[in-house]
Formats: sequence, structure tokens, C-alpha cells
Amino acid sequence: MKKKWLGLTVSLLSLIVFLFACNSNNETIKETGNANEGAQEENDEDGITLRVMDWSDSTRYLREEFHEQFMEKYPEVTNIEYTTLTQQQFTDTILNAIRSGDAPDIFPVPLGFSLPVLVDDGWFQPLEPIVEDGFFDIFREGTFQEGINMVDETIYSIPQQTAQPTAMVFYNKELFEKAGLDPEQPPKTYEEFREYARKITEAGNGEFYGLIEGGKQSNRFKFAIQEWGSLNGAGLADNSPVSKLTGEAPYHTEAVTDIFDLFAGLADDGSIHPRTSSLTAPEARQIFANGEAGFIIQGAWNIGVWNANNPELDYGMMTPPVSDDGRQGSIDSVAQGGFGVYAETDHPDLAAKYLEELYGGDFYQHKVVENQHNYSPVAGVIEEAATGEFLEFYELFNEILVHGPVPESENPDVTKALGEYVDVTPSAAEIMQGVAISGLRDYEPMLQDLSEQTDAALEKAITEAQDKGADVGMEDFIFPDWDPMKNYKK
Amino acid sequence: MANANITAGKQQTSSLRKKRNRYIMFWCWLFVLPNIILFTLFQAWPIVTSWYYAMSDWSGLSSQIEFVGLANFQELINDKYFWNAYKNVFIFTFGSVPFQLMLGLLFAVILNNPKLKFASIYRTLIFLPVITSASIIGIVMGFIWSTDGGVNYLLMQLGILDVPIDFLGSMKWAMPTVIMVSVWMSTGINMIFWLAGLQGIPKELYEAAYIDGAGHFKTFFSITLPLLIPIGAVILLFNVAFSLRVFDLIKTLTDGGPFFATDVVSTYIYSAAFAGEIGQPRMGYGSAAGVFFGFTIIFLMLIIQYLRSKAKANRYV
Amino acid sequence: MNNSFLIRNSGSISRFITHIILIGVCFIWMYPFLWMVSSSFKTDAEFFENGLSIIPNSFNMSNIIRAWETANFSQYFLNTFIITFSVVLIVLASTSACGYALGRFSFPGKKVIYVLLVCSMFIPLEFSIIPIVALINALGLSNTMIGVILAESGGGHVMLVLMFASYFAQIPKEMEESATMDGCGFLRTFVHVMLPLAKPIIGSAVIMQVIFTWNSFLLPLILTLSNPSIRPLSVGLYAFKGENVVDWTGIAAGATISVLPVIIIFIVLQKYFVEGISGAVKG
Repeated sequence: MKKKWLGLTVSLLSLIVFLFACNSNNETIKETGNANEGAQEENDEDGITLRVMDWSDSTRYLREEFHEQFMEKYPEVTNIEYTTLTQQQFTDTILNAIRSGDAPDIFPVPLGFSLPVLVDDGWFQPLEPIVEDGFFDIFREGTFQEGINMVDETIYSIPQQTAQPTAMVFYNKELFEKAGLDPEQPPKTYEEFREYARKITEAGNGEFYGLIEGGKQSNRFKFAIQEWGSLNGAGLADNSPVSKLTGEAPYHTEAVTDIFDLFAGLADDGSIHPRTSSLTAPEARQIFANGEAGFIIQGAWNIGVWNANNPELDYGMMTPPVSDDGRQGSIDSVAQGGFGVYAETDHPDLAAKYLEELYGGDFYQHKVVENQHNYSPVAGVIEEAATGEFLEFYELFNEILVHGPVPESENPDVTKALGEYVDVTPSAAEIMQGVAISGLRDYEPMLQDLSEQTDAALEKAITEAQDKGADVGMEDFIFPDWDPMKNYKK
Repeated sequence: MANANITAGKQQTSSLRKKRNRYIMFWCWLFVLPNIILFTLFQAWPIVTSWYYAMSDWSGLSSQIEFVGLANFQELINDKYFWNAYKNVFIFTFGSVPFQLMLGLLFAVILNNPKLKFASIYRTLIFLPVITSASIIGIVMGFIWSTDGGVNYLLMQLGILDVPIDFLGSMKWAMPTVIMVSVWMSTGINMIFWLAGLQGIPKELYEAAYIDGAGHFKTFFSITLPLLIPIGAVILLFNVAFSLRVFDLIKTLTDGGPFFATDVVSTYIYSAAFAGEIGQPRMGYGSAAGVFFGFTIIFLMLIIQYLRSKAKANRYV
Repeated sequence: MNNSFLIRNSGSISRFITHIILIGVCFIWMYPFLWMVSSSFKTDAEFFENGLSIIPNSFNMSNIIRAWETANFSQYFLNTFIITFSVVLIVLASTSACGYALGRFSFPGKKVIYVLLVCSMFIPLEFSIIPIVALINALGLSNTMIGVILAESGGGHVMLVLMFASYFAQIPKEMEESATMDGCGFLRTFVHVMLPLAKPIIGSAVIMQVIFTWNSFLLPLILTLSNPSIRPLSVGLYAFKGENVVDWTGIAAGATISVLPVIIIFIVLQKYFVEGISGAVKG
């Protein structure tokens, strides 16, 4: 009994001691916190901190090196606070940062948000007044797109890379050989693709399979539908909910259903890696590198990762398969938002210098291409610095990539209609997820439904925008004069 | 005289009692105040703002908030995928809560035995899933439940299965699998709560029962269980509330798939509020889903409460 | 026949069987944890290649070292400790007091409080940190440790309040009355008599709140946006989970080292879960 009281007293005592310890701890922290603040204030007197935030984690090491060089060149900047997050965390964080008036000096346009809305909201400032004259001339033609990088022909953001496809195909040459297939003759049509996948799966006998995907992420399927569908004449791209060729949602047409049939067939053959359902894209990429799948549908950013981490992986690359009738269109790639400068920043001049050095300097853009991370939007850099598979991939996708019409640059009020547009559920990607993973086969009526609802949603968005005074109509989404095998020219 | 004395005495005691009551009331309010303040600022206030968002057309990023009244709710109740999520979250809750409660209690009772050696080690091990990182659980479970994973291997060795099942990829099996993982994850924390509850039972009661010759099961059902009911009700409530709001687990295991088979209300809200494709994300609509869901649950609870009190009243009549 | 609750003299066989079953169950239960620990010694390729194995090919420490450095462990650990400790203290004080008042007394307004608290449990709020951040900003506490602590302690903590309430409610009246007889006031009765009796609940409340605060990510990240020196560990650890490159073994290593303190806290607190009130009464 006595022991218990003793124990109780001891624990109470220790609690009290802890409490005091904590108090004093708190105070010391407060002090150090204040000291830090003081230090920062001092910093403000003889040094400046630039804050940069994005989700470019794969190039972080290069950025850090770049920051060292930048601070050497501009000694008034004594610290660059660089934060990389995942894309979703970035969106959450930046929203709250803006609301508290405390956003980083330089950050990219969050994915899924329209630049004109954000500019209207006072997020970014125009870049032309703060950068040196002629700075924008160093970029490749067509780098800046209305509604994505420009508002009313004023540039607000600079993309980190050129437009490129995200649903190209990589294949494992070793597994091709094991299945008795010629690694130099990748499949060209849907039928061949399915056949190859089946043969690889058979040869694998449970060790490896035809195709692997990051099946938990529906956006991976979105890219496949959009890009493979567009090669088949669907006219889909990220800047319009409907086909830019017809002005109608193409999901029920052959251009898209062919893709669904192909994946249903692959699933029926058992050619899809059984772990696809529970994988994210980076996980699938690693498992492909481990030699567990013949094909993976991915983009350029894998090349650097594989070359660095899996030098033993012998992979080939190919453009997506097409129907027996051949290619009916091109991948219509849309630019990315990229970096802008915070409207309320204290150091617009230095933020501008940062961008000038990042894009115009000798170091960063070359390194990013040389190390096989991104295709630089600065003219001439890819041609100079790209090597090996990275260059091969670039040349390969340029055969099937075009700059299609951008509805927003033809009529800026399109932005207002897209701002009213509400996505339809289930999306094509979600239906595809069901088809490829869980045996959903009744997809035709669903796609029919999807097309109808998408058309209705766009119509509704246009009406709502018109009610608010926007000068926009259905005709702004149709480009009958566009030949989808070529760049769009009015 | 005597009468007057008594009334005076009564008055005195009643005024004493009043004083005492006022004293207690004062302290009670003082005691609940800190928590009420924390609650109001950090929970009630966000709920109020989510009401406001729910009645607006708002992407979550821009400062353009357009008031649309009940339009979001109208759209919501016409969306069969919302009702699918609504149904799923109840399947999830009813599937997982009873098991995690019972398993937690079982472990608690076994490991509460002071004479069982290594009990503290067992308790720690059972608790480990609670603190294992969610992203790790997602990857490990992806392995374990895949067609060439441990579960299928075991079932095929035992001759229960001829062909492996893609547990997380099949529309039929994904939900039961998620439920099993949830039970596995939550048993540890339930065990802790039950253990805490078991400590409130005076040991003398057990001793008396054993002297009367009662066995394990009889003691458990006649002493332990009845005395655990008050705290058990709290644990149950917590489990239900927690399961109805499940998010992390589903997000890491299936992300609501395959084809909405495990889509629950919180993942539904997430994809509406944060993930736009061509359209903007819809924070307003997502908030409406949250508000609608929360209030229908509360409404359901009130009905149950009303029926219960009515049943009780009838019994006494 | 058996004198103790489960196993005592009924022979070593039943004891043996109990242990065998428990060991089996524990293995299933701790398997992913073991896998996480072993992954922190694996290479990235091995992480997926070696599938379900929990024995790494070789014990390389590079992941652990990388995790330690990337997560700023030495600096952020102290922050995490201070934040968690303060939050637990605040939450414990406010919930136990609230639970005591609600569980043992009837006073006007009690029902309203109950109803409000219980109802709030069912409203999903995971995604609305905007008002909370706005509030902390309005209080002028953004980018301060106090702001983080306050935001993390915020909320009704309904679960804990109810657990305290139901636990206090079942404690015999005499305990309190004798204390009142001894001349203890309301506060002293609570601190000296009732709180010590509630150790099992305090133990589980501490564990729950520690886990929650320890892992909380988004709120502290946003609240410490321009003052990285006060960030907690969870924010540092997230550096591994990138958008394009995921450092799985780094995540595993980081998760392993950050979870160890929680396990230690659990082991230390364990005795509170199994130390009943009857002991205290008799003692």
C-alpha cells in the first residue's frame, strides 16, 4: 500500500517538475523564437530572404545549387527559403498563405486553377514591368499561352517545361525477348499492343505481366484517354471539356471507345499487373523498373529516375498505339502555368532577378535537361543539352505533338464560361479505372451518358457566363478549320 | 411555535441548499468553460463557416464567393454518387465498429490479467498499428492483399481458394478488405479505452464472484460487462463517429475505388472540394456535402433518442 | 475452479496455449510495423522487389541518416516535444475538468453542452482549416509557437470529455463526501481526490492526444510558413513524400525514428491503464 502512495507521489512530483520544466522550456523557446524574429529583422537590414515554394522535388538538388550561385551573384539576398511539397499540399498551403497575406515571393500557379481568376484576385503581378526588356525573347515560340500564362496578353507566369505528352509508352526490352518479341519492333496498333501484352504475360507466368499502371490514381487513366483518344481523333485537351473538332463531348465515339475496348481486352487477358489497383504512379514506375511488367504508360520524367536508380533496366520507348486505320489526330498539348511573382511581395525586383537567372542563366536550364528531368522552355537548350534516351524521347513525341487551338486566346471570355463549368462524375478516367481494374464491362452506356452530361454542363456554363455579361458562345469551342495533324493556325 | 421552528429550519436548509447549489453551479461552469471556449473557437466556428461555404459557389481559392442558397444541396441529393458514398460509409461503419469493439474488449480482458506474463509487451505490440505511418500501411496492405500476396497464398494453401482474388481491386471485395484493415488498425486504440474502463471496476467484486464459484464467462457477463456499459457507450459513440468520418485509411488503401466501391463521404467531399479537372474545384459543394451528411446523422440520432425515450416512458406506464 | 480471472492454477498447458495464440496474433498485428522498420534499412529497389520479407538484405544506415538530416530531426524534435507536451497538458486540463463537471453534477446548461458536443462529433471538418488559420492570424499568433499550440489544442475533444464524464460518474459518492467533510473545496476535491482516481483515463487520453498531435501536419505547416525554426517533426518528415520522387525508404526510416518516442511514451504510460481505482481506494 505504501508503495502505491509512494508511486503516486513520485508521479505527481515528476508531473510538477515536468510542468515547470515545460514552462521554462516554453520560455526559452519563446526567447529563441523572439531571437529568431530579431535575427530576421536584422536580416532585413543587411540581408534579404527570398521565399520560393513549389512541388518540383525531383530537381530540388539543382535548385539548391542554383540558389547558392544566385546568392553569390546577389549578395543582398542572404537566404533563399525553398520549400517543396506535394502538389495537393502546395494548393492547401498557398491558399492559406495568400489569405494571411504571407505568401512566398515566387510560386507556381496551382494545378487545376485558372490564372485569370487568380490574377483577378490579386495573387500574381505582371512580369513585364519587373523583368529586363527582351527577357521573354529567350523562350521557345508558343511558350506563353493565353489563359494559362497570360491574361489579356500580359505575361504573369513562366512554365517550367515545354508542353509534352504524359501518356507515352515505355517497354522492357528484356521481357520482350523473353516473350519471343522483337525489342526493336514495338507494337503499332491496338491489336498488336494487346497481343504483345498477352504474350509477355504468358511468358511471365506470374513473374511479370503485360502492363502496369498507377491504378489508384485515376488521373493516370485520364492522360491515357485524353492523349491516346486524341491520336485517334477525339480532339481532347485540358483546355476544353469537349472535342475542339466537333464541339461535342467525344466519349461515346469510336475515337474514345476504342481505347476502352483495348483496356477491357487487356484486363480480360489478365495482362494487367495484379497490383495495379493499389499502386500510385511512382510505385508503378519502380515496379516496372524491377522488371515486373512489359509496358508502362508514362512521361519523360521517368527517364532520369530510371537512368539514375536502375541502370540495369533496358527499356525502349514508343508512341501510343493507334487503330488499324492509322493515326487520326495528334496529342494536343497544353502549356503549364509555371512560376509567377506574388503580388504583395516586398522584393519584386529580386524576384524578377531570380526568374531571369533561373531561365536566362547558364546553369539551371542546361542542368535540368542534361540530367534528364525537364524539357526546358528556353529556346535552344534541349538541342544543346539533351542526350541519349532523353533526346530520343523528345524527338519521338514531337512526331505526334501539335499545338492545337486555345479557346481562351481566341476569345478571353471563354475563361468565364470555364469558370462556371462543373465537372461530370463519373469522369472518363474513373470509368476507365473500373474497366481496367475491376471488371466493369458495361461502359458503353456510361460513356454515352458522360458525353451527354458533359455537353449539357458546358451549355449550362456558357449560359451562366452569358447571364453575367460574358460574350461567349458554343462556337468558341469549335475549330472546324483545324487539321488535328498540324499546329493550329487561324 | 414548534411549527414555526420547523419552517424556519426548512427555510434555513433550503437557503443553504440554494447557496450550495449556486456554489456548485459556479464551479461547474468554471470547469466547463475552458473546453467550451476551445470548442467554440476551433470547432463550432468552423462549422458555422462551413454552413456559409455550403451555400456558396466557391472554388476554395479565389475570394469570389457567390451566394447560391440551397442550390448545392439540391444538386447533392440528386447525385447518385453522393448517395453511393453515403451508403458505403454506413456499410463501412456497421462492418467495422462491432468487430473492433469486440476484439478490443477481448484483448483488453485477456491482457488486463495481472498474472499473465509479458502482458505489457503484448499490449504494446497490439497497439503498434495505431502508430504505424499511414503511407506505409497503404503500401504493405497493397502487398499483403494482392493476388500474389500473403492472404491469397494462405487461402490457396488451405484449399479455400482455387483462383487468387484481387482483394483491393475487386468491386465485391474492396469494401470487406478495407473493413478488415480498419479493424486491424483500430483494435489497439479500442483496447486502451476498454482497459481504462476495466480499471473502474472494483476488484472486490471479482473476488466475491469467485468465492461464489462463478467461472470466467459468468463473471464476465454478470459483472464486467454490465459495469462497462457506461464507458462502453462512449467508446461505441466514438467508434461510430470516427468511422463515419473515415478518410486517411481509404485514401491510402483504395482512394475510394475501384469504381466508387469504397468511396465514402469524406473521400467524396475531398474529390469535390479539391480535385477539379477542367472545372474549378468546388469547396462550396464539398462543404454542402459535409454539412448535409453531418446533419442527417444528427437527425437520425435524435430520432433514435426520441424513440428510446418513448419506449422507456411506455414501459413505466 | 480458477481463482483468478483468466489463468492461474489450471496448469501450464492453458497458459502455454494462451501465449502461443497471443504470439501469433501479435505477429499479425505488428507485421506492417516490422516491415516499416526493416524497410528503413532497405534500398529503394529492394523495397518493392523483396516484397513481404521483413529481413533486409543488408543493414545500411543511409536511410536513417538521411531521414535524420532531412527532417532536421535534432532541431524539430525539441519543437515537437514542446508542442505535444503543451497541447496534452492543455487538453488534459480542459477535458478532465469539463468531464468532471458534466459527469458528477447537474447544473443548468449541462444538457445543452452535452448535445452540442455530441452533435459536433458527426460533422466532418477535416478539410476546413481555413477558419482556424484565419482565427490564429486574427489573434496575431501566426508563426509563433503559441499559435501552433493553441490551434492544436483547439476543438471540443468530445471523446475525452465523455470518457472522463462517464468515468467520474461511476466513482462512488463517498469519495467526494469524505473529502468535502475534510474541508476540501470544489477545486481541491477535484485535484486531490478525483484526478488521481482517473489515472486510467488520463493515461489513454494522453496517448490519444500524443498520437494526434505528433502526426498533425497541415496545420503546423501553414502556421509556421515563415518561421521554419518552430516547425515540428511531422512537417520535416514530409519532405520525403514528394510529388514526383517518392523516397520510400526515407519515409520508412523517418516514420520509424519519429514513432519511437511514441512507443516509449506508451510503454511508460501503460501502468496507468492497468492500475485500477480499487487499489487507490484501499491504499
